[in-house]
Amino acid sequence: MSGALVIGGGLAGSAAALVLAEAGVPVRRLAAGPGATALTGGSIDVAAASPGVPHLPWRDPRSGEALPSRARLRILLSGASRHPYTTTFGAAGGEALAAAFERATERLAGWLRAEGIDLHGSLDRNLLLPSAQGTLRISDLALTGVASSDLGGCRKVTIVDVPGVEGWDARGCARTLASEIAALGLGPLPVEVVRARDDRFASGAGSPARIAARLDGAEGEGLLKAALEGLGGADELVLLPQVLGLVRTRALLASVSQGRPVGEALSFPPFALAGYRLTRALDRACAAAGVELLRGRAGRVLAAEGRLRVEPEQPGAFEALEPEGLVLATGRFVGGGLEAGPRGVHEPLLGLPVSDPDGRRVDGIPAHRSVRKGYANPQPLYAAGVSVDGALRPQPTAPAGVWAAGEWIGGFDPARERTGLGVALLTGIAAGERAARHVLGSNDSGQAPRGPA
Amino acid sequence: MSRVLPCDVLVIGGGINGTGIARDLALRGVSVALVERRELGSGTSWASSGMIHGGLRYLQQDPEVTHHSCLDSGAIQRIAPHLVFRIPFLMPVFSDDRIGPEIVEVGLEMYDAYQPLKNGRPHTRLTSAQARELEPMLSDRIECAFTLDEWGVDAGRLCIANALDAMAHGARVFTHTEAVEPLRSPGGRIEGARVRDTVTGETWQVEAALTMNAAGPWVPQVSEMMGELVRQRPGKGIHLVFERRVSNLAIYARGVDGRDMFTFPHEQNSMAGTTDDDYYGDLDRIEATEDEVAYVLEAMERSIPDIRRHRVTHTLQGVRPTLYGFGAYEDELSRDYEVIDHGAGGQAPGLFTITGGKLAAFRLMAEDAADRLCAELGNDAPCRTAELPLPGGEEPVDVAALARKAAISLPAALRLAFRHGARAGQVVGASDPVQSPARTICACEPVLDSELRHVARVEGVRKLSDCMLRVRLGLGACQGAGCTASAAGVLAEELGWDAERTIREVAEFAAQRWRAVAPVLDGAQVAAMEVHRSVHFGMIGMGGAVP
Repeated sequence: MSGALVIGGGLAGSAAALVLAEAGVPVRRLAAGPGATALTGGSIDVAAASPGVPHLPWRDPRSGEALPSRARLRILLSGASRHPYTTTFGAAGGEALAAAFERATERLAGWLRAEGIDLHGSLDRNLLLPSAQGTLRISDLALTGVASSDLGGCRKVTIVDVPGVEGWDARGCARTLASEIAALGLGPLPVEVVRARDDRFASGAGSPARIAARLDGAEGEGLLKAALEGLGGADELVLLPQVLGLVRTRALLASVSQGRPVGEALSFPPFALAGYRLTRALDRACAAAGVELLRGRAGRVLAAEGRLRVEPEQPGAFEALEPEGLVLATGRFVGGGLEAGPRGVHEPLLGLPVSDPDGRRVDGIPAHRSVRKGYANPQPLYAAGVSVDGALRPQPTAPAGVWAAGEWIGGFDPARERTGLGVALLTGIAAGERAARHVLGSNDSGQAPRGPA
Repeated sequence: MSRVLPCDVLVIGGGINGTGIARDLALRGVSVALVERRELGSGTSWASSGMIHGGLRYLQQDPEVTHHSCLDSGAIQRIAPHLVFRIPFLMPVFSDDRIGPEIVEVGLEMYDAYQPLKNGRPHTRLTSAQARELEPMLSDRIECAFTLDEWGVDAGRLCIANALDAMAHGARVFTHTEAVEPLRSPGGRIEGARVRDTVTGETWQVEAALTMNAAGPWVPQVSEMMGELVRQRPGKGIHLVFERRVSNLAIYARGVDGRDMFTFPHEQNSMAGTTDDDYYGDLDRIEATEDEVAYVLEAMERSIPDIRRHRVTHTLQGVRPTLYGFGAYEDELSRDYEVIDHGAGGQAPGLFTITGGKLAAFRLMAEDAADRLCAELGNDAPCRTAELPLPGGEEPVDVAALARKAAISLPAALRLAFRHGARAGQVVGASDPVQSPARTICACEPVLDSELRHVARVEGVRKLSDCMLRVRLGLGACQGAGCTASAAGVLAEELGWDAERTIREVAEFAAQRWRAVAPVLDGAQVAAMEVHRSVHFGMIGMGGAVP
């Protein structure tokens, strides 16, 4: 096979595949499943912050002014020496990193727009997004559905009580949200709970996904419109669980909003649909750009005589692939980029070393030996991954023509630092660009792959 | 002036002994106060195998223990049929076992004599092929296998059922309340204790004619506080809990040291264990260790060669309050129990202690202890705990009708009926203030919001972590990733928690699950906990609140 192969079906892998395709490289994307991106809740955090979480500052300690992501990126670069942001942009500095994100964001917005999802926000303004639990997440980018529940500029929040929906407790959400608003000094911003007058749009469904499927249809849309009749007003948010359609979110939102903000709360699996929508849109964008989408799990990557060879885990599941350039965006444990088992923790495709942020190896060791007591402590296991150089080449021994992207890269803890999708976007695009230069360069010269550009 | 509660008997400890004694006394008209420093049954009772078995292995050394256990197992089946389930056992015999099938069968024939006491069937002998047909995962190296009948119980709910019945008969039960110092008369008599509510911090007094120390492995600590010495030979035991049922039958396995262990179905899961090792560590921070886990898995592997392919989600660990004995290995120690009167020979009249014993014989032990206390009080009412049903055990439940009537799924109705028996209808009726339909909070178990409301309103749940034992919240593969926040929201509404308290409860619950998961973290559970962390740190935003 000529051209490039991307392994990984999340944001990092899809971004790399789209960049390659747009550069004119024949590209295939191999995915074993939907990946961790599909479990995300509706925001794409470049540099998330959280009130009360010391390692995620959101206010300037001296002036008390809220910090936008642009400033938070500078703080992040100054502290975390093995975070992929630092590895790739540490030398260039915060402004270069922010500029790279702005370019990346524009490209992602372009890919998603065509598939019915808009990307809202910027690095210069914080989005204040309520979760289904009523906690506030300070973010920079959010997807259609969640984005319109930004509390900035909002004068009142009406939380819609939809009875019997799993993961949705409107009164609980209201209690916590009111308390968070008070703690942050955002008031006066009243929060009230209103029982949906007509709950036929949701009745008997149970899970948000079932309601969303119902609302994708015209009848469901009509029922939701009726249920929201008379709620909210200009600058008065109507907050719902993540039920605004599996595939028609933008159209549905436009239809039911009627001059007032209607938004979804950030959610987590199994109640989050935003990640499903994002994954679906990325898959469709890939297909539209000419990326050949393959389903299957790679078993190992071999390199001999300057040629790469990707073999399936189950012999015969797919024909071995021999790409000129390879982007690995296989994720961590959820994605399968790292595995834990009888051989200890290991990286299955290349057998690369896996290191925690302090540079200690965690591969070859049982998983439980790389965790600490105390749930909230930094956990080496969950901040570990492969190491890369500034050009995203896996270290120290990966063959030429291989680049890394997303959470497969170690040095940061996506859960505690909340930069998982930010890293996926930045490194996915960067890895795709480098792989494209490599493949196009090697085609130009008509020679076997050289070292990466 | 702090609060004072006068009563006849103060029971210290809310495990199976404490709740069993409280119930027995309350049924005899004695006024009882029970203090439990954590959640009812959260110590040794919860960490047990949850089996009311006769103890085949005690037959040689302690036939009395076997007899008592079998007899009382039968009684528990009568008074709490909803909490009990049959566990048929399969005992494989290997050609390299020290004891061959003929001798094993002699032991089982002896044990058969006790089976009628607990409604068990006599043993059968199976060929290797027959056994492997029943459980295809059994090792092909087995020579033959035997079956025998035992019974499992939800030990946590058994404690709660005892406490609920005690409360229904006038007892006062205080969870998250610890005894901090004795109240003494000028003559040196123990007359109750100062107690401290660990949730509110309030300190108050229970004035009691008699005090019963039923603190399980904490018995020596409580005795010491009262100025008395009670020795135990504390024996730590761990279980591995699998994500789902590994086998339909319980399967015997032998440790490298020759000890018997088993993999057995328990509620929605399978468990494997247990170990028995002298324990000198901190009773409030018992953790499974790597070598204990490896020891259990190695033993299981002999009977079930591919056992390591099954996902272990977490461990249970506890300490047995075994009677003191010198010069014997852990396994050879007596499982008998003792009721001590500290007035006779001791320096603390008014104080009694119960120590040792087995879960299966709890009712008999409680009866004995209550007899002693009642004799002291001059109360000659008879014990009625073997005849009167425990709450929920009054009558069988029509699960299908319950599901239809309450518009809930059949699995949800089954689990409700299991935990609450005849009261399941009342539980599912504990609807929210605006009459919403039932909402599933935890899909693994499953748990409905109405059940959480019920345990908060009627059963006196005070903390989110109590729900792990009350309704088995957070014990599935996701370890609460999907349900902890939702459950906290329901409890917050019922118990009037503010947002800060709610998030703190979530954080404590998550941290507690982590302690049980971390020692066995491996395989697919590593990914499950990756999601768990994303949910708790990313979405719930509990960053500052985690203990």
